[in-house]
Amino acid sequence: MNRRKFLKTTGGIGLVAGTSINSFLMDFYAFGETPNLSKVEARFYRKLPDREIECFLCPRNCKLGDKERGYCGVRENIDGTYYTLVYGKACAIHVDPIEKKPFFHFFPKSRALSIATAGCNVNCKFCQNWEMSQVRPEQIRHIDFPPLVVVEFAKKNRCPSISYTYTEPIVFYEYMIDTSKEAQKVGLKNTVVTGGYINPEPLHELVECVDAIKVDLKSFSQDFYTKYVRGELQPVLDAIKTIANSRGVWLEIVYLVIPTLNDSPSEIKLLCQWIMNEIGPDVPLHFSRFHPMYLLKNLPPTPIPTLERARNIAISEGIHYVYIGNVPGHEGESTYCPYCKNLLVERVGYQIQKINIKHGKCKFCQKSIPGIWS
Amino acid sequence: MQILPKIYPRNLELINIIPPFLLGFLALSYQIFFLREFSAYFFGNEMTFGICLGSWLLWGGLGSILAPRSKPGFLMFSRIYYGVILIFPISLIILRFSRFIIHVLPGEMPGISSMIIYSLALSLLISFPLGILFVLNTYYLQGNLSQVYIMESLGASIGGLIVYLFIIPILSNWQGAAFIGVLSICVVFFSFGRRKHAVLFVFILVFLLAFGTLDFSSQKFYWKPFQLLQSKDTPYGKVQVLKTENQISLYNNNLRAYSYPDLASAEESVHFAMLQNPTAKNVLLIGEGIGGGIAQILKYPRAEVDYVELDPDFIRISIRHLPAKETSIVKDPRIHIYYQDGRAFLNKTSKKYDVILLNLPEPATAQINRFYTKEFFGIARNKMKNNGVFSFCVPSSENYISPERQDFLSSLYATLKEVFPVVKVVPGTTNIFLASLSPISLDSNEIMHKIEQFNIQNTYVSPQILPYRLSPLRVQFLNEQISSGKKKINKDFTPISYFYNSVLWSTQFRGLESRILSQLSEGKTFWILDFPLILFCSVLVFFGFKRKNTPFYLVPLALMGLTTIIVEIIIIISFQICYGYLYHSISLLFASFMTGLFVGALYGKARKNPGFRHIFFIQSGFILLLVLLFLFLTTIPKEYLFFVFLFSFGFLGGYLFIVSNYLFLQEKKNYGLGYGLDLLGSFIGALFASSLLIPLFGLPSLIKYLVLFNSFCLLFLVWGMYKK
Repeated sequence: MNRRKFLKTTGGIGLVAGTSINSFLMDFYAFGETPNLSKVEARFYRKLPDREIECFLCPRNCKLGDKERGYCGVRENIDGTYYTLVYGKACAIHVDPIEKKPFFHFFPKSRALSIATAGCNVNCKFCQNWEMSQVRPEQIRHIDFPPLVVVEFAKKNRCPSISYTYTEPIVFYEYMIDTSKEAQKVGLKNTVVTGGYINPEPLHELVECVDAIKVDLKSFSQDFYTKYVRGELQPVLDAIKTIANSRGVWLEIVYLVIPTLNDSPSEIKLLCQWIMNEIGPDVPLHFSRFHPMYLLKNLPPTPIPTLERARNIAISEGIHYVYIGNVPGHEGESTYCPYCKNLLVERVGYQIQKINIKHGKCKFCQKSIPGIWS
Repeated sequence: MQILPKIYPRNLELINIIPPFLLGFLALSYQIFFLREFSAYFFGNEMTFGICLGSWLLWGGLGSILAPRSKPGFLMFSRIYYGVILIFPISLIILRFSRFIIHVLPGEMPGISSMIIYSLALSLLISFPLGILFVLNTYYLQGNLSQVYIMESLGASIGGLIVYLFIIPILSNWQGAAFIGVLSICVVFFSFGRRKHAVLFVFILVFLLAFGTLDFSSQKFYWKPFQLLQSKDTPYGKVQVLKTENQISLYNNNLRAYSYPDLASAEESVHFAMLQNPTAKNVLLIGEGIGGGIAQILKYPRAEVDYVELDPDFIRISIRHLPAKETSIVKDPRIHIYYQDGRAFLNKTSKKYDVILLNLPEPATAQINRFYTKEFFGIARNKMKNNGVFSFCVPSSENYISPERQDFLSSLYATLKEVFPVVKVVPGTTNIFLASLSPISLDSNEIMHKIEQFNIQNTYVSPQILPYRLSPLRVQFLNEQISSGKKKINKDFTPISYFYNSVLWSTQFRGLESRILSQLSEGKTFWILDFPLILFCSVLVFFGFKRKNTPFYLVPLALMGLTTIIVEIIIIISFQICYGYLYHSISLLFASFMTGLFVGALYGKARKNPGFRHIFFIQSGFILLLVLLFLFLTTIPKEYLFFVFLFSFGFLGGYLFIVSNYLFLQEKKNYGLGYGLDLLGSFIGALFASSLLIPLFGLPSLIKYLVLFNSFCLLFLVWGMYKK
């Protein structure tokens, strides 16, 4: 057999095999169950000629043709109109302590009804909830849980707040906003746990409807965002600034410290200096311990000295409330008064042992402690 | 008969046997090292293994089929040997540094598609030329294919034995590959190589020596930015030690076995079970304990621990790197360490335990799956006191249970439930399964009371965390999820849990290929077993109506390749179930098959004038052996019978190979086709048997289908006889 003949034969085999596997899979999909998805018109998009649309909910600004979905996988262009497929389709519903989000300066000791739908607008290799966030809504089990029912459920379970969490709530923006408005009507609070990868316009509207936002800042380097998050750092920093400057919404920042990837003292220092310059010393900053997950499940967990070093850097840069997360019993879980150094809120895990804050002030030195305490 | 009289200056009779012997020797030793390295860098579950071995066999088969149909120059012949010996270490280097090409971190899961591309590309480099060499050897022995085959199988069995018994226990994979390379290149140069190749010879020799010595430094480079302290290839896998700040992490085949200190894992693997029975005296710990688990058990004053660990190197290496505080625990008189297979230990022990802690990785392979079967749970129950507790942990998801995870968890739950009347599962990012003959409580108040009563100082399984970890809503949520799953029972011979685990693993990756297994898990027997059988029969009918004789010789050969590889896998799995993972016995099992091939081929060659009736008899022999195997697996067979079976299958395989090729070559001078089809049959078997067919349908059903395939082939042969 000469070379040409060989290439022809192997190429032919490859082509036949490839085509048949593909059609085999397509058949599987075609016979799958019809998914029960929502068809509620999405917001923050503009129509383009030829039934194309451009979504400007998040900085990806996906430009989509007919029948195409955005990067998040939960918003689809159907015949030139953009729809959210997950409105009212909750795939996780739990009652969690608010400290688990974590919010440390927002209604301590309270319970938060926590909900999520499928989808995310980034792809972190260390996602804790990848089975929900990295799939399409038709691949996931969800229940119909419209805004009014969410609010009723929260009231029934004695939850003073509703938390939009686990996956990326930005991708179920419409559902989150409508639920928040319903919740506000009956006096419930709304909290958002987000990666902060959102455009300014939708963010401005969001901060009007919710009471607290926790932003997961994954790193302070664009390189990390490119490699491990598949997103951009700058829009997240912009979002943090916007939230910090908005009145009536409480902000906390979480930085998941992953050994050797985003734990260098210089990076932490830059982050802290940025916080000091742009936001001020009062935003609570949590350095959370990484537990190996998803595609990085074979990385070692973060050594505790790494977290302690990060915390020390932040404190020496002047940030007032710096915490260590996911290390129960560590002194870095508790809140200390930045002025008199006394213990204000003693935490072990999600349990609050002691609160020495009265009317938002330190019981010892009477200085005001930022946060929404009751 | 004079072979190569003019071009070969040092013609000894050895020339008849050395090249084919070396071919078999290289092929098998390289295959072993390649599979070991591939499993280490691409996460060795059954699917990885099937894809890797499958690609190897596929290219070997294609190499043989597509080999040149004419005798090339002798220079070219020896150059291919040099080439293979040079390329093999290069392919191992490419494999080790693959993460830089596919842009993943050390320890990060590469996708399934990169795994397929890598196994295909790298085995192409080695196995394809080895396939070609089979045919070229035949040309050089003037078409004496049986001689080539006999020497090749002899080379393979000796190569296999040397590698398994002498090289792997002493050298690392790279060092072993370098050693085999040096040995082979010297044999090539001094026996059938030519002086002209002296420079090439020296170059390859130097390269191999450098390759062997750079093993550790290259691993250090692989792990950057992490700090690699030590690495050792033990018979059971690649053990590596990493340091991050004050923390030591031990890896086994690139999978993190434990980190120290990691209180969270250590506490949860022990206390949920121990707190059910805090006065426990006899505690059995199977699997990792040195990273912190043992220290946790010793918090209970009465506890005495039998700690069973398969790989002694694992403990030796741990002791070398852990702080004295931790390693001194090993010397505690309350700890008894047994270097044994956990299942074999439990089978033999006459003790009854209060608590049995299974601290092994989740059932991601058939090897581990045998610790999660109904039969194993049954053994555990028999070795437990009435109020005893049995427990194991698997990684899970806290907030959402996907359908794939649900199938996996529910199979474990249902299997436990078959054996134990009480089964409870602790929710969280790790699910802890607790089973007992007596009541178990997941009431956080009750457990907290015991913690206080026995003064157990914990950080994670502590009164501060338990009310949230065991919140009734979370417990209920998980129970609902698990109890509404498929609840398939995981059995020794139908190891469904590891299939569900592979499905779950595959869903981590994006892209269409990640959904293949998930879809197949819904698949019906018809498409996976009946349809191929119908297809096979149609092919037989198609060939039957053709005028050619050759299909009657070749179809049994391809089917033999498929049958023997599946039987090998079945026997190895069954052996492990009955006698544990005994490294040397398993090496000898492989060797007994190879020896069978060799003896069968010798026997076939000694037959005067082999005819079509021989194929008929051999085919009947396969069916008889398969039926016997089926009956044999309904009992717990004697150890030696496993060897007898593999030898017999090998014998029939070798015999058939010689006879079929003899008959085929009388009609057509295509030396590579028979060998190629044998390997392609094996390729299909390797790819699907352990990753799909065995877990989905079980060993007995698979043997039944093999009997059917072979019976139809026998009918086909009857048709052939009738036609003649």
